[in-house]
Amino acid sequence: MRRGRIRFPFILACSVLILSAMPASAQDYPPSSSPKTDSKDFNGVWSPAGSSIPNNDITDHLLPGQEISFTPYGAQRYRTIDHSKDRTNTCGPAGYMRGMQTPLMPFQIVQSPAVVSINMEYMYQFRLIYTDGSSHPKDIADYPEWMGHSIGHWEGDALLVDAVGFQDKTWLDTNGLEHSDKLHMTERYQKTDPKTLRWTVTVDDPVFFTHPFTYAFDFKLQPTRVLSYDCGENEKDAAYMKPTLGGTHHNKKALKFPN
Amino acid sequence: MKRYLLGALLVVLFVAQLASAHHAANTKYDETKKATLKGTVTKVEWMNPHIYFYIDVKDASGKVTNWAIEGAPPNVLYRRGWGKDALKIGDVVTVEGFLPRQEGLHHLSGGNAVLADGRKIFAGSANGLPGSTDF
Repeated sequence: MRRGRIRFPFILACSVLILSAMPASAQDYPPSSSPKTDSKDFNGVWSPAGSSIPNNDITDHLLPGQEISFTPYGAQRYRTIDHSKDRTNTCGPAGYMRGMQTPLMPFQIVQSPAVVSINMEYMYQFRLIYTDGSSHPKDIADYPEWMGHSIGHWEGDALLVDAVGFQDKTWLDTNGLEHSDKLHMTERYQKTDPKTLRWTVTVDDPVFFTHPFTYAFDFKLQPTRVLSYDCGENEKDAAYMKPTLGGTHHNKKALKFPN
Repeated sequence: MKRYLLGALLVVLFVAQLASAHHAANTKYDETKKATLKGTVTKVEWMNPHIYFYIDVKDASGKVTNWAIEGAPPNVLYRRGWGKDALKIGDVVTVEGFLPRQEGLHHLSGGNAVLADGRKIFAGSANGLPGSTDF
């Protein structure tokens, strides 16, 4: 597989932004996806492991004992979600959850001491995790973001991330799990070996769920590069979609509905 | 519709996954309507979010209908080793997939194709499912 330079505008823009803020020593990170021995070096191209099906169903990734317990409002939304109105049908933002969880499309992490940038091929999205001691903006609830606002810090070789301030229009997965603008995501990134990055996510959204739940993906380092993606380039599906109601998760036992 | 299909549809013996990376494919296609078409490639669109190629299918009465075959994202096919020239205009192929929910729409989802000489095209993973990340 050829390895090319990063050459797409948004990744380039992010990289310039990041590099300009980096001390010279941090710019020595290798540019591509060769395995890293540094357990705190997440640079590289990653994709979820172990799935040959283009699906990112969260119920397949819940940690043992975890369940998705809906509030009455969340249950009503789950039963009436219309997949033909999924914003990605018309190339709207997918959110970073679907961007990172989708096994078909890898993402590239570009890391500096001050910020970790996750550049997703899927829907050509990027996400910035500030690791410079920043706090969430005080006005983030008034100006929510498609990717939320993310701050992180290191505990040993684990990057811990706190994200709030989400738009309420993205989904947590392709199977129709919605969230509100009260969504609070807590994430842990940690290598379990040089080619595996474990991502453990706790979803807290009291509007949709009675209590938080936690799931995890293992991302594998990929011998590839992030390729160009334009969702609208040859979109021929949206015009023919029919109303398709209800969430489509595989593991129904993990879903708890109010009586 | 049925008239067109009679001469072209074969029994489908495979289990396939609707080809869709970014949304629920059953909004457009019917997972219960599996089909196989045989025809001659007239056009290939190597574009996101899914490739399309078009085949002329002749029914029992000799009437030719052009079908649009929706496949996997080009990025995925590229990583499996398939390039935009893997399927050429004039190739005779047999393709497997699912019919649309909308009656009369000549689209087929799937994109797993077999050339006349038996070579499989766009069937990148061992089980024939689109979407393998085993590069």
